[in-house]
Amino acid sequence: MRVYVYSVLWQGKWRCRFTLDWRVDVRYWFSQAVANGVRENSSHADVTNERCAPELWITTCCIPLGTAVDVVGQWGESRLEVQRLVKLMQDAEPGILDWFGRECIQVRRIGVEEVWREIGIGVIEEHRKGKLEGEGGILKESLWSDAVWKQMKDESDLLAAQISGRALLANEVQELMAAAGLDHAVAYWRTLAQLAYIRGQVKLLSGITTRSLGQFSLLRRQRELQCLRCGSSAAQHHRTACAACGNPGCAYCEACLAMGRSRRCALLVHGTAVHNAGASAAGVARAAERAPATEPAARWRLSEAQHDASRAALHFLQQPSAAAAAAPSFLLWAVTGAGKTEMIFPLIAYTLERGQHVLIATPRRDVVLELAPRLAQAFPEHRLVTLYGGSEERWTAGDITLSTTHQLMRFYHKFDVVIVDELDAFPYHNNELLQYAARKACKPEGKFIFLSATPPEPMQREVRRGRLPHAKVPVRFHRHPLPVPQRLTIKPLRHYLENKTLPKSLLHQLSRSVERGAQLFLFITRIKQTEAFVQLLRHYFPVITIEGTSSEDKERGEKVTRFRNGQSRMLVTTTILERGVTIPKSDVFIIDADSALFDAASLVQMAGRAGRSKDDPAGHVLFCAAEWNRAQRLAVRQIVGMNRIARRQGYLLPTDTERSS
Amino acid sequence: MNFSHWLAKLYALLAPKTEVCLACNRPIHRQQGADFRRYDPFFQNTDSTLHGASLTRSSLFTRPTEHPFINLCEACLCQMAWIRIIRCPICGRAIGCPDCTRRGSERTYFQYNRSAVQYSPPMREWLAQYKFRENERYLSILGYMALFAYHQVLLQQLMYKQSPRIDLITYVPVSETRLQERGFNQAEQLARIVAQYAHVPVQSLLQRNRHTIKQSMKSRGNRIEDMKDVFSAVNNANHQLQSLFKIRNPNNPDSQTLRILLVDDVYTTGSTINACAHQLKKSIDPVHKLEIYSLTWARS
Ligand SMILES: [Zn+2]
Ligand SMILES: [Zn+2]
Ligand SMILES: [Zn+2]
Ligand SMILES: [Zn+2]
Repeated sequence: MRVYVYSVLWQGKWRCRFTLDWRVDVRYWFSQAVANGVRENSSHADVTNERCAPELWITTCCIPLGTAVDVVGQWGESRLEVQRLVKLMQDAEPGILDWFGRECIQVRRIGVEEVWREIGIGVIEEHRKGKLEGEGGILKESLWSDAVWKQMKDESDLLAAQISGRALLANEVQELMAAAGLDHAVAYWRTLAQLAYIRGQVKLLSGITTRSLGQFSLLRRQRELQCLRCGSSAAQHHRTACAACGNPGCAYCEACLAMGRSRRCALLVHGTAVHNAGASAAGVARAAERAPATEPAARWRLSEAQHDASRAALHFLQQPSAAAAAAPSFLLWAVTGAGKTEMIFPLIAYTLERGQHVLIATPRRDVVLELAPRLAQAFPEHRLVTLYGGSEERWTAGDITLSTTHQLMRFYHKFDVVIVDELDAFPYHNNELLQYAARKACKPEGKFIFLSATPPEPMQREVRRGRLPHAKVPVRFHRHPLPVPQRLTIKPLRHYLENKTLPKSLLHQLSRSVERGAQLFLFITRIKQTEAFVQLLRHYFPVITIEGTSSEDKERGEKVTRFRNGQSRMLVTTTILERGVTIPKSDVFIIDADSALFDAASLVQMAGRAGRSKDDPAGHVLFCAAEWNRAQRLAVRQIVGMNRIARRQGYLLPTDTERSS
Repeated sequence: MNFSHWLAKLYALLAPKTEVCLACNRPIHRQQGADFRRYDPFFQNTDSTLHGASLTRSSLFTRPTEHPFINLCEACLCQMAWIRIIRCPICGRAIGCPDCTRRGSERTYFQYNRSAVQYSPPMREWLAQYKFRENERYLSILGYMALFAYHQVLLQQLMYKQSPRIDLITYVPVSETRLQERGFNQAEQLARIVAQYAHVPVQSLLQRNRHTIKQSMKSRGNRIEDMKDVFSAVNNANHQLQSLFKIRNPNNPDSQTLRILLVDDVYTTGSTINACAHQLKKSIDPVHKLEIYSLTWARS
């Protein structure tokens, strides 16, 4: 879209703005003049009084939004004038004069006396239309009537309250209005958004904006594009001819395209948070009275290890956040099967008691769907909003928000506490985008809690250096140690598939697991090997049901269900099933465990499939490979380390020998 | 300077650049000897000879510098539902056609329509990705595919024993509101790509006067009724066309008919194309000098 840029003299200072609907701005800044009606002989003193600007300088035609946002950001406190405007436009959009006519860039003055005159003869809007191209919105009645103005203000208050804490594109603003009982106002949404903007209730930005590359004067003019919604840089933008702004190479963001198109000239509205000070103060007071209720173990029936970790996290939340430290974080490092969902309940309860907003985010949609009923059950008196692609609660407001990380792009400084579950469940290259979105969704003074069984290496480093406060939950809820992976040296799977034989050592281990009645996860690296491996296994184990699946398998859902029900005994799979599927009595075989495709984190996750039930806590895990590499070593070290901590802290159940002695 | 920012750049450089299919996002594995170009209908049979006249590809189109199909995987290339055999000579459908025989009372203002593909579910998805999700990476693929329909239009002219020729390409307009929201008109973009390959000028001759609700929401009868007055010719359409006559044949501008190709994304009942063709014919004088052909990317 394109907008006008203007500067207005207000309380002795020039202020630069842009406008989606110039009528709003003229009405707003000259409101005193309008209230007084025609006063041709008024004195100068009246003109400069506090509630009425004497003059406003505005461009005579609209300029592309992205450029306008930059210009307004750079302008400072001087009157709008053409030469500097042209220069700043070129800084913002190099080469703009190739397609945007230089002769179009002009500014004109609108004086308060002019406006009075026009109000006097009742022609202001008609009159102005001729002088300024286009029209901001569709209103049946004139904005100059006091009744309409008041209605607009009320409606824009309503809109601002709805947008508060959100980051929305233009079409999302319209969707939100329709969902929030402002459907009659969708036609003039620009009018309402503009009114909210000049009154400081929302920020208007462009989806893709420029940021300066450095502080030094040489570099300051070197700018780079960045998507404000997902944080992506120019490498992830694609330029196409754009009819909305006229730019033959208007950049749009491909990284977040699935969430609607963010582009250089697309409006992005950030709702500045409305602080409900009264309510939250009362909330804190109430929370103080009820402090014992947040004692985790009692209310949520946590195990000792869960309780300790939860208390540490609560303590972290209770500390006032240091102003300087950006987004303080806490890591809950809980082994697979530790029961981390229960551990976050006390944290959610604490936040809710203080009348604050809490968000639980995870990259995975299936985790969201699985968590939703448990949260709803744990907090029946609070409204839960569940967000994922295609969710119907997109515009609902609630106390607890449960969301996939992608949906976070639609929030801005909304949450006081952000709990991120399994951030590492996503490949590294996507992490940056998701981290950006999570930071943006959190209030500047808000706090982060990360949950992971396998925190990414940079985070582990922070832990080792003592920079990241954390709590480890080294034991599973059933209080048995984690199964430690055993090493089995075999050749690469490719070799056995070619010869159509399996080595004795592997067959022996497989039979042992089958005989003890376990179900077997067999993880492999290549999708293409699935079928051949399944055939080979069926040859050796003809009486049991063996299936194979991968990310490209359309019947994956059914096969997983059959495995869960115990209808199939062996499941050959790639890493897609490294998380989520839990089988009570299961053994894990990781074939080609020395492959570069398996890092320590995914080895730990896969190993974590075994021994999940208290009835069979000691499942077998085998790393089958020719080489014993760093990833395998790290994975084993992590597992053994966790068991050691658990034992030292007395979290483990006493073993039989300990009990008898 | 931001260190992690540079680190990210370094990562991007070091990461192996695997080609990912535009449509399904899976890595593209090309088997040895397999050529994506075999899914290009022009690659299979380049020349068509009919009634002694021949339609060679090289004489009609320029070859794409980078073949757009390179961005698709084998599995997705197989999904292209090309209309190779035409059953209905009017609407260019590949299956039997009640619509064209039923049109009856309503006059047809265009010669015939040709489409590149059937509007199958995967094709529907591609168009949705391009048009509604606004993923403009699809454009080069869809545009090149539309060229196949252009070839079919000319082939039909040849079958009618006319010399194959299109003088001007125009397109079905979208409303100003839609254009502002979307930033592009899909029909115009397709038209411009076809025109670029075929070396034919493009002109905007039509405008859309109001927003219509989604076509698919309405019955056929409603649709035709609704199409009235939706489109009109732009103010100087007649002038533009008259001057084109003069350019084509300066000595005797009346001797030749002008052949206009009207481009749209999907042909459903033909009511949009027919309404547009009607408006074009209304705006030009004398009418008999104008022949309107229709090209759509898909036929539903
Ligand atoms: Zn983005
Ligand atoms: Zn643009
Ligand atoms: Zn594909
Ligand atoms: Zn037909």
